[in-house]
Amino acid sequence: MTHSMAEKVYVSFDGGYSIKTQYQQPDRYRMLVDADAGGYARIARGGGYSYAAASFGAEGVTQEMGSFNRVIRFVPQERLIEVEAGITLGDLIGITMPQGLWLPVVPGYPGIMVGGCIAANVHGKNPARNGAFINFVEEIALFHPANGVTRVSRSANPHVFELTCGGYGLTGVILSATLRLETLPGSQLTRQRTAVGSLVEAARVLRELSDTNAFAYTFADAVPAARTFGRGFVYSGDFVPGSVSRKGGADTYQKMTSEKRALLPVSAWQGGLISRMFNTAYWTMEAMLPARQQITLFASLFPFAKKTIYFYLFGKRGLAEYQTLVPLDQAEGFLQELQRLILKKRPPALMMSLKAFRGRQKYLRFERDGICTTLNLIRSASTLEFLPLLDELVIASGGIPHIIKDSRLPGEMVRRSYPEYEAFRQALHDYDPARLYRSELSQRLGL
Amino acid sequence: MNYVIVGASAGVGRALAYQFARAGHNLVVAASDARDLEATASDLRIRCGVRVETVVMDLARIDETALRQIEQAAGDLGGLHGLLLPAGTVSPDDTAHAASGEIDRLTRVNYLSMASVIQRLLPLLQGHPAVIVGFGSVAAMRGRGRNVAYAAAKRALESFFESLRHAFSNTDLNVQFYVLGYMNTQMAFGIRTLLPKADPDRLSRVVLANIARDTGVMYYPRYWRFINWVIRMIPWQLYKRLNF
Ligand SMILES: Cc1cc2nc3c(=O)[nH]c(=O)nc-3n(C[C@H](O)[C@H](O)[C@H](O)COP(=O)(O)OP(=O)(O)OC[C@H]3O[C@@H](n4cnc5c(N)ncnc54)[C@H](O)[C@@H]3O)c2cc1C
Ligand SMILES: NC(=O)c1ccc[n+]([C@@H]2O[C@H](COP(=O)([O-])OP(=O)(O)OC[C@H]3O[C@@H](n4cnc5c(N)ncnc54)[C@H](OP(=O)(O)O)[C@@H]3O)[C@@H](O)[C@H]2O)c1
Repeated sequence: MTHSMAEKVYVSFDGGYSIKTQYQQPDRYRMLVDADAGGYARIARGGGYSYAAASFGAEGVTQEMGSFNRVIRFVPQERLIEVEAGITLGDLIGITMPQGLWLPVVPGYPGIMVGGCIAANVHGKNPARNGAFINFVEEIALFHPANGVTRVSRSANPHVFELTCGGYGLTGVILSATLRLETLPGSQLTRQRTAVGSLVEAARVLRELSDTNAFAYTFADAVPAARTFGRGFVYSGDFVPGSVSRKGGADTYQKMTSEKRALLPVSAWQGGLISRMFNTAYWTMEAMLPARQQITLFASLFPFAKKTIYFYLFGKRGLAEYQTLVPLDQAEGFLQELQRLILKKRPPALMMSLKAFRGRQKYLRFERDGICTTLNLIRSASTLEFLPLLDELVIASGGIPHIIKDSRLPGEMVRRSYPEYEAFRQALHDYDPARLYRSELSQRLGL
Repeated sequence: MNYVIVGASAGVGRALAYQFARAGHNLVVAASDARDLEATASDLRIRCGVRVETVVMDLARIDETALRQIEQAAGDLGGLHGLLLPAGTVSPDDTAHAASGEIDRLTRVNYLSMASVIQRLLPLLQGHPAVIVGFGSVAAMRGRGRNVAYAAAKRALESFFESLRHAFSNTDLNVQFYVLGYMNTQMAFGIRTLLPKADPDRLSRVVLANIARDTGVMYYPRYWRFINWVIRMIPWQLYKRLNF
C-alpha cells in the first residue's frame, strides 16, 4: 500500500535552493514502515532548519517526521532517554531539565529535531569540551525497506551506526534514538563577556576559556571595514551551582520555519550601511550591559530562540552561512587570510563567530581538533562570487566546510576537503546499492 | 477521573488524549496498531504523570476478546467517567460502486463497532456522572457520490447518539456529539478544501472545556452548522448538479 502524498514548495534555510516536491506526513508506524512509498526515492525531514537542501530534493518524496515526537523510555537514574526522532530539542530539554538532566550538545534553535541532529552530527556551544552529537547517541532504531527496523549502536551494526551519525539521512529513517544525558549542575548560568579587538585575539581567548567553561563562543563584526572588522566579544560561562529548577524546563520560543523565514520579498540588510548600523547598534547595546550576567540554560543553549527576526530580515533572497573547521596550527594564518580576503573583495558580510573544537574526523562528519569559523553574508551575486575564493582558502588551510550549512557547496569541494569522502560514498553504496534515500544535497555531492 | 479514548493513536484522538492527560485524567487508549499506541501511552505517562492503559483493537473486526479487554482495562482504572470515540476511517474507493467488503469495513469502523463498544461499557458509565462523546462528519449532511458508505455510517452514528441522548436524558449520563468539518489530520491530508482545516488541538480544548456540560450536538468549527443548513435547503434539481 502506498501512503498518501501531496506536493509543496520547500526552501533551504539559507534561501539558496527551493523546489516543489512530493511529501508525506506519516503519523502512524504503518505509514512509514509498512507502506512502500511506491518505490520512490525518499528522504526524511526533521525541522527543516538545514541551510542546505538536505531533507528534500527534486527526486522522490520527503517524509516529514514531526508526528514521531514521543518519549518512549526515560530512566532518570540511568541517565538514558529513548525518544522518537521527530522530538524537538526544546521539548526534550523541557522533559529532562526538571529531572536534573540535560544534553550538553544542542544546536542553537529549539525547533531542531533529534533526527536532524544525528543525521548532521551537529555541535553545541562548547565542542572543545563536549564534541559532537554522536558522543551522546547510544542506540538508533533505523528503518530501511531492505532491512526493516534495525537497532544500530557502537556494538550492534557499528558500521551502520558510523554511517548514520553524520550520514545526512542517507541510510534510512531514524525512528528513535537512545540518548545519554548528563547531570545538570544548574539551570542558571553566568555569562561573561570579554571584548576582543581581532579574530586572532578572539581565537586565543576562546581556546583558553573553552576548557574551563560550560560554553564558549565569540561573535565578531564581519562588515568589510578595516577599522571595525573582527572586533567582537567572547562569551563564556558556567553553571550557577545548585540552581536546578524542578519545575517545567522548556521556555517558549518564536516558531520559525525555512519557508516562513523567506517570506519578506526584499532583504532588509540592503547595502553595507544597514549592516554597519546593525553591528554598531549591537556593539553599543552589548557594551552597555554588565559584562557578567545570569542567564537561563534555555537562553544559553538556544540564543536564536527569541531572536528569529535576524533571519527574517534576510528575506526571500536569503543568507549564506559559511562554516569551516581549520586545524589548530593553521587557524591563525587562516583567520588573517580571511580578513585580508574580506577586506579586499568586500562581500556583503555581516557577522561571524568562532568556536573551539575537539574530535575525530570520520566520513563526512564536521568534527576534528581545530577552530570553527562561521561567517554570515547577505545572499547576493557578490557573495556567490566570493564563496569559491573562500573554498580555496579553506582547502589551502587544510580545513573542512560544514556540509549542512551551505546549499551551494560544490561536490568537488567536499571531495577535495574531506579525506574520507570516497570511503563514505563506498560504504553507503555497499550498505544500500539501490541508494533509496536521496536529497538535493546527496545528489549535489555525488553520493 | 478516568476516560476511555477509542482512536487515540492519531489525529483528533491523539490530541484529545494529550488534552485529557494534561488535565490529570487517567486513560485507556485504543486503536489498531500496538506500535503507535505504546509510543503514545509511554509519552503520556512520562510527560503527564497519569496512568495510561492500551488496548489494541481493530474496529473493522471487533470481537468478544477485544470488547472484554477494553472493559477490563476501563474497570482496572477504578471507575469510568467518560468514553470518547474519535476513531474513524475513510477510503478512496468509497463510491457508489464500492465492493461489499469495503462497505462492510467502513460501516463497522465508523458505526457498528462504536455501538458495540458503547453497549459494552455502558454499565461502567451508569450510576454516577459520566459522559459519552461521539464524532460525526459534515460528510453526512447530505449524500454524495463520494464517501458513500462513510457518510451513511456517520449518519447512523448520529442517529444512534440522538437515541442515547434521549434514553439517558434524565440520568447522570451526558451524551455529546460533535459534527466535525475538515480537520488538519491524516484523514484530510493532501485534500484541497474550500474552507480551512481546523486544528485538532483546539478542538480537543473545546471538548475538554465542555465535558461536564449538556451540549448535545455541536458543530466544529461552528460555522458548519450554518453551512449544513444551507446545503440541506438546496433543492434536489440544483443539488444533483453540484460536484463537491
Ligand atoms: C538558527 C539555527 C541555529 C543552528 N545552530 C547550529 C549549531 O549551533 N550547531 C550545528 O551543528 N548546527 C546548527 N544549525 C544547523 C542544524 O542544527 C542542522 O541543520 C540540523 O541538521 C537541522 O535539523 P532538522 O531537525 O531541522 O532537520 P532537517 O534540516 O529537516 O534535516 C537535516 C538532515 O537530517 C536528516 N534527518 C532528519 N530527520 C531524520 C530522521 N528521522 N531520520 C533520518 N534522517 C533524518 C535529513 O534527511 C537531513 O539530511 C542551526 C540551524 C539554525 C537554523
Ligand atoms: N479529518 C477530517 O477532515 C474529518 C472531518 C470530519 C469528521 N472527521 C471525523 O473525526 C474523527 C477523527 O478523525 P481524524 O481526522 O482524527 O482521523 P485520523 O487522523 O485518521 O485518526 C483516526 C483514529 O482512528 C483510529 N482508527 C481508524 N481505523 C481504526 C480501526 N479499524 N480500528 C481501530 N482504530 C481505528 C486510528 O488509529 P489506527 O489507524 O492506528 O487504528 C486513529 O487513531 C473521525 O471520526 C472522523 O471520521 C474527520
